[in-house]
Amino acid sequence: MKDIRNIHEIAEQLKEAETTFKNFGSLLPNQ
Amino acid sequence: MVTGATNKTPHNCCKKYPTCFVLPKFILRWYAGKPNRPSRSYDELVNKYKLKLEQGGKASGPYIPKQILPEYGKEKLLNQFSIIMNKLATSVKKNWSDEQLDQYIAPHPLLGKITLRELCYFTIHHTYHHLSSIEAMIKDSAPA
Repeated sequence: MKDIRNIHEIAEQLKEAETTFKNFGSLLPNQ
Repeated sequence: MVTGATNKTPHNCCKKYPTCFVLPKFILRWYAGKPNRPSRSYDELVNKYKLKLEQGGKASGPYIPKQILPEYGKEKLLNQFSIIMNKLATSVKKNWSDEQLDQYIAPHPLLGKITLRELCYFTIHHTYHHLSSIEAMIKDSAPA
């Protein structure tokens, strides 16, 4: 559940999702 | 083909999302039309997407993930994803207002025509959806 109220929070959440995924992915093996 | 978790990087539909946010608005209006309802909340949008998946909805046509060769490399894949997401976040802030996100729509392969605000919500959710898929894969492949 997310409470995203305005365009600034949308942009922040997009960035946060990107960072979270990239950080998680970087810990994974290549295969 | 990359057979493991890196193949779960949010797929090529993500490449198409920024296009909606950088197109001239009159082209998007001409292509997709006008919304006939208010934007859904984040939770409403996610619930509708989950319902579509439960009903058997799957990616089709150009939205089906392409095979990725192992030599492409995880880092390159992650960097590509990062560039697209940053481009999207920047375009949203730079080219659109809060009101406009509710006034323009774009086609989605499972959800039909959704507002650009909903498209942003979907992209956020979809990223975490892929992350959860990878976590489940790792859990399932771990020795008992």
